[in-house]
Amino acid sequence: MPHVLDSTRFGRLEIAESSVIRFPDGLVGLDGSRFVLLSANPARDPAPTGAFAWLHSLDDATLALPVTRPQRFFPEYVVELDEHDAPAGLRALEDPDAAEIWVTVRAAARLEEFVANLRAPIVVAGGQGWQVLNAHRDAALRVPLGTGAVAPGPAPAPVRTTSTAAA
Amino acid sequence: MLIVSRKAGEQVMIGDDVVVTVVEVSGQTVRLGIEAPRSLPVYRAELWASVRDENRAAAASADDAPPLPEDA
Repeated sequence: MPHVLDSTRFGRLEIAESSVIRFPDGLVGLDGSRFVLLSANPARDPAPTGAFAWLHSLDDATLALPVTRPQRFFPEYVVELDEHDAPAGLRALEDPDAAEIWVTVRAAARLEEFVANLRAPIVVAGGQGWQVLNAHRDAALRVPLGTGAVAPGPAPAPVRTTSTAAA
Repeated sequence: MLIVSRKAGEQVMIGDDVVVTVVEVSGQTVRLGIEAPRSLPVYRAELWASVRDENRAAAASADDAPPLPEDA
């Protein structure tokens, strides 16, 4: 049975159960726990295959956050999780490398003015999602797209857990 | 707000399974140890607030901007 989303932005959309992403901890400061990733133009093709997508709430028809795949703009981007901060569900993943990483963006009139939140990425795997705190020292809260590489060096696994204790 | 006075080494229980320990008091800084179930996220408040503000700003930003680029 598909979910019916009466989006205030995109109108009525049918969402397959397999596309629902459940956030056990929600998104920081926002209500609701069920979201779906939609393309920039879901009326034409809802699959989020492009550089940008919408993380649309299924619990609040008015709530949708623009997101992007950070590695598209920051090829060296990695998510470093302090082992104390890593959500249990994420730690239990059999294959963390298969997780998809998204970051929220503040959209603007021009692409050069878009700003990404590299500090609190969204990790999606196995129908679940978590907004996590990236412990990498260069992962800032507001980074203009187009500022390039974040973590210098060879591109490691997209999500890695460190045992560095919180200061 | 409940206000309690604690010394270094003393603890506060929140519910049955959250324990806050005053690890050290040094000048203006208090070091706290927090034991909580893994299912309960623990955040530094100012960081939580800045991420919340960024999430809200992202959700609001698209109301004023033109449609998202389909690719870049």
